[in-house]
Amino acid sequence: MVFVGLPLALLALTSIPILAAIYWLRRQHRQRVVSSLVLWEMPAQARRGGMQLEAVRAPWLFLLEMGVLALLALAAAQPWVVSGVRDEPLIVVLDDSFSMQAGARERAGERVRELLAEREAGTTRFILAGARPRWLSDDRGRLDEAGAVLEAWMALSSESDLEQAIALGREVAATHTPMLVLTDRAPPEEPTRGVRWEAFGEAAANAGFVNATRSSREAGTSRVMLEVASFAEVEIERTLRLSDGRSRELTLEPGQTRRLWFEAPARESLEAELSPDALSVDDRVVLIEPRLARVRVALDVQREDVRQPLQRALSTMETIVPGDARPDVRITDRPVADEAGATTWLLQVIVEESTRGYVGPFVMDRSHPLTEGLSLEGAIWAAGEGEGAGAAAHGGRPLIAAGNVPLVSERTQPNGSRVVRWRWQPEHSTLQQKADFPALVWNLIAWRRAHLPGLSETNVRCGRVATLRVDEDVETVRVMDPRGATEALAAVDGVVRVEARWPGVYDLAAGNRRYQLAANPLAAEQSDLREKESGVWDGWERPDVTEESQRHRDVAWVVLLAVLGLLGVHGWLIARQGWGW
Amino acid sequence: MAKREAAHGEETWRDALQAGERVGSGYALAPPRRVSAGFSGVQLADRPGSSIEFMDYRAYQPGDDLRRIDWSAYGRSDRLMVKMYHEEVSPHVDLVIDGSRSMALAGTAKREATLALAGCLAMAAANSGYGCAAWLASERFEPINHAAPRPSRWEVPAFDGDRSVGRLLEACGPPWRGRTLRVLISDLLWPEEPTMLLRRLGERAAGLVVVQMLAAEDVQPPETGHLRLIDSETGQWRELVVDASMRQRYLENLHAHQARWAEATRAVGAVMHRMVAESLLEAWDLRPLVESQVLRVK
Repeated sequence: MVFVGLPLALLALTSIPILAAIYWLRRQHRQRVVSSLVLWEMPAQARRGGMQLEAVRAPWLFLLEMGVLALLALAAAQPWVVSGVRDEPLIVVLDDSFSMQAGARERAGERVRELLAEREAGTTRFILAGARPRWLSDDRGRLDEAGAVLEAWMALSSESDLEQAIALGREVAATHTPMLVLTDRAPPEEPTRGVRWEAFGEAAANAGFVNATRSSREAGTSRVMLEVASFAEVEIERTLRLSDGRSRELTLEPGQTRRLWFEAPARESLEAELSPDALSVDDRVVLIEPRLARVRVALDVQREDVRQPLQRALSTMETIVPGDARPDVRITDRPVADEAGATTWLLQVIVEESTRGYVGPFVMDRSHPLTEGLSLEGAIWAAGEGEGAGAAAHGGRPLIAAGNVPLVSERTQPNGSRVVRWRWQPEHSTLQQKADFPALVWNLIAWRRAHLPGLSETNVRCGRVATLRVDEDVETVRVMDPRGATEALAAVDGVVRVEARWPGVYDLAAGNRRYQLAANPLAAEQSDLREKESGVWDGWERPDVTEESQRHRDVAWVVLLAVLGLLGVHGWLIARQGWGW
Repeated sequence: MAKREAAHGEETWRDALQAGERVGSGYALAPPRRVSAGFSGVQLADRPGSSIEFMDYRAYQPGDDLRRIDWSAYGRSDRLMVKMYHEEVSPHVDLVIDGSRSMALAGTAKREATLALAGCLAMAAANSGYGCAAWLASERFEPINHAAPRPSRWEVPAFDGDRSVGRLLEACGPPWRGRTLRVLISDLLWPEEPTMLLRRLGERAAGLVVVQMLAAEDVQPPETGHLRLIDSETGQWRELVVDASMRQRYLENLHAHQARWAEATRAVGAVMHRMVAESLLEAWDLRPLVESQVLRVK
């Protein structure tokens, strides 16, 4: 039995009487007087006298065209048949945020078990909705075992983009494929057609870490900052314990966030823990001392008035070391014939004799890391006029310019190293007295450091991606996650991206180098359980599509194939019989 | 309007007679060389004789000299019979023109071509010293040249007959005498078997020539589509869907019809020719008649 999803489309059947009318008008015979009907008598027919009508020939073309119109109307009405063979496909979106750890994950997990027990294998697909939604699948392209689904569903992400996950599902599934969202909160608005929203959350009071940072300091220590927030309607008390034995009692007003500072020994990881409550995952953080890669700088400057400001600026940076042999950055005021090698970037300071003092406005390429944080307001920058000598040979793109006069330009060499050309006459400039001067030097060093082997960040939030730059000869990086599982990640263009899904410490091995990465579930919106709730918001067109009886199959394609077949016969008849219209 | 159409129609067939007369002035009738057992066996002479010897009887036709009526034969048979003499018997040609409505099919040149050919043959007969009688077979066999021997002066009634020449012969009897050369000009589009007609037509004839005059649209069926075909003579109609296969079957019927007539004419020792009216008036190609020795070039 065929059902239709859009009965109004059957109004197209009114075209059939129109077709019949057209045929009837066409069949109005033209009169023609002939000498005799003798030769029009067919041999098998007996002669008859008087008025007579010719028997109507079979109207095959009319019947075929009528059939095409009827089938097209049926196809437009979205026909479907009840199929007793397979379940209707279902897409399930799983909220992967760590707020689900407050009980919603377990309750939603039971729902997953029910679904997979009720439905045929291979008809249910899952999307994990974290910061970047992705499909859950095994080697067969889908997961049919509840255990495997629940194992992959960790619910540890610091954010969950459910809307993007639904959009991901729509990209692959047919328009009418139902989607089921399992989460711990109400939908921001009524679910769209075909989406059913089931929430398993419960409102509760909670306190947890919402921010944690660690920075290196001199003398073998580092400074730790912890933010603890209360998401309760009443005053709460919590105990903070550090892994080095220290503890502190905290009293938090409703909605209050407290920032705590600690000193910690360098080179040791520090763990901080709060007394347990409704959500335990945000009650613990681990911080690793960040190890910034050291940048070897060779200062090869002859002019005193150039070297001194540069030396002063470099001295404020702890992570640079003097390096004349194979430096990472060479700063010079000499004319350089043989420019930077593959691993040495060059900052060439050009002091011109004939100069002008430029007071701005200065034009800066804000997309370049070298200009980050610079304002140059009130600075006098003395440099030569025009593009300067050697500009054509340098051929770099301007990063800082005074009108059409390039002051700082940068070029990438074929071997990947960079050459920065800096036109600056310190005698007539006030640039070196401004905060922008050390900031410019710092930007140069930070920019170079970002291209040295090492982690972009040492402490990240769960669900985020940390970037590890490796040496040229390193092809893979072995990563051991906090659970102890190991995987090998391939380096692409010298970069490996590590997704920190689980909280804890990751150990990375890249050739001879070793790194550690700490991931923590830090997200205020996830720790706040006050708005969590349970409920069902049903946008499905038919009740409970998960039941076996509600299975249907779209057969519009069958109807359209039949239309094509009829059109083929129609064309063949016309060609064969030489029938004109 | 009807008068104008009638005047125009008269103008066209009169032009056709003139054209036929003009063309026929270059030809002469050739006497038939082959005598079939179906004929009376009389050999016509090439030129009129001077004998007044009584030869035969024929049925009285209006216009005949009343002094020739054989009252004795009338007393015996109750039929008016006319005596015929030698100079009437040979040489003479009877032109039998099918005057049915199909021969004047609108939009064709059948009537004009028929009259033109008749005029041509009449002139050719005159050039050979033949006597000529032209008969229009419409409601009856009506003589059309008795008052004016020259074709251009013939008074031709309308082609409005609704019977075939064969049925007309059955109803009215032949108006011609024996031992004449008879030429039938018709489209032959009637369903009766040709043999009986040919035997009656050739009865006591010195020779028989049958010319089938068809219009171009008789030879090629009309355009395709849904048509109501109306018989010009009977008024019957048929609604047909004329497509490629219908056209093919029409042509097969035409060829079969012509083949039957050809066979029948051969069987009675007659000569048959086919002409297309429009082509005749355009080209005046009379070579078939010359080659079959009906005509000869003067």
